[in-house]
Amino acid sequence: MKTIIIGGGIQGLACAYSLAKRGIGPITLLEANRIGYGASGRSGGGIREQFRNEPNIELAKRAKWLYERLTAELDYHILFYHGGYMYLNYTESQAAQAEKDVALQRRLGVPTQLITPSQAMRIVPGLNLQGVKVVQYNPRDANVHHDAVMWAYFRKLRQMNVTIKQGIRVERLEKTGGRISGVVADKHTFTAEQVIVAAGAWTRKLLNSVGVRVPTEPWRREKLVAEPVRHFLDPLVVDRRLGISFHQAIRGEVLGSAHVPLLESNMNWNATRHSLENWCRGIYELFPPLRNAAVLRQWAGTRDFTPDGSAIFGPMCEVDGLWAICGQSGTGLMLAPAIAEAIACGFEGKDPGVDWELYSPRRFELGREMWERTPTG
Amino acid sequence: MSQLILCHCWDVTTSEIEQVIADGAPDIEWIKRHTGISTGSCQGRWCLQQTLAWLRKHYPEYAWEQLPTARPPLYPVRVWQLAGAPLEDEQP
Repeated sequence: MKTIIIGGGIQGLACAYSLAKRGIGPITLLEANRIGYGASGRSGGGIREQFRNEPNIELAKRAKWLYERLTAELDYHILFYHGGYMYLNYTESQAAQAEKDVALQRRLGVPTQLITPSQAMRIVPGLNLQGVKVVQYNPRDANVHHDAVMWAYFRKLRQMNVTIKQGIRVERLEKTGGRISGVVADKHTFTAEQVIVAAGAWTRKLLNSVGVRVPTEPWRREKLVAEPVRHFLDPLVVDRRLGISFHQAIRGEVLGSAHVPLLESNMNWNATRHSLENWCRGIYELFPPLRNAAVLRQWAGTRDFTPDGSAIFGPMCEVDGLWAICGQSGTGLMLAPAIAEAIACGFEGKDPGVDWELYSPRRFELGREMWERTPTG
Repeated sequence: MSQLILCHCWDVTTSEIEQVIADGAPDIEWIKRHTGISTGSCQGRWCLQQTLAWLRKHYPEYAWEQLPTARPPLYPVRVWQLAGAPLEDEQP
């Protein structure tokens, strides 16, 4: 089956790999700019199983299981590391939600614990936990190097003879009758029997060109990195009051993520001084051991959000042969291998292991939202 | 295979760069992302020049003109400085 994948981020690459591995093809992957340009290359690399809804937890479990094996499978070190994820909860309502989330996660086999501030202090010495009510901690959540993952897929796809074209910006999709027939880029039509749109924040516009509507919106998120130091910090820590997070990557760099208030929807990639100072002010109080860390670089990227914070993916029922993956709301990297696997099973007519209905844009019309929105991480 | 170190922050050698080019890295941005060049303490101020000079000599046809985006801050700045904290004894 002649298949076109639009988008050369983690998700597009993972899909190409899952399909190629099953002998589906020929596959052409079209990337508007360069591999990882829009969001994947700007990611912090967090991989967590701490979600709020059962289907998302199952998906995240599967994704992590696949990531744990990806280095061997792709013959490239993706710098995977079980550092854990820690959420600091300050208010009564945050604590109540945390209790519910942890109970569900534990029932599904995710080893999240609800721990006290003094227990958290032993895991992250130096953390200022004043005002913290309760901490969610999963020591088995993980971290990966986003560029290493993309490079691993890219190398493998080259070996598998998948065509990857960079610098080809798809303008619109084309359908004939109720079926997808191709995509138009640079006034040239690429014909295809199957099209997967995995173009992040650009997905909505592409789907609109064949009348498929998805309720997604792009938001900017800013990150920064501080000078690498000897390993001293295991988990990624998310502060729910300040809306900031930090962790130490496997190479020793300390990465920070600043929660930009969702005041405007845009695709502006200018990192701001406001956000940099905001993170530093927060970290100065929250984690004094980092007071003397040297900030090297800051940048911004775009995240495609759905109203409920859960992803949209699967076959788009309005057009035969059209598949989409969008609205991961900041969880694109952590779910990519599992979503790719589900899509590939769908291509083969096998059980994808997920309920397409739950991840279709129709869930918003049916009132079946899966609320996931968290401030950061 | 040569073993010159071009990036002192991440100990990136010329043979590693040869390897990523052989694996299909199309430009300097990819070399940066897949070797770590230009992402250490010097942020490319030192190593990028060395890498470009080396590439120009050994890979004259290579797309080395498209440089990675320069990001703020201009020089490394400490968290306490950006937080606007006063200079205290404990902050060297």
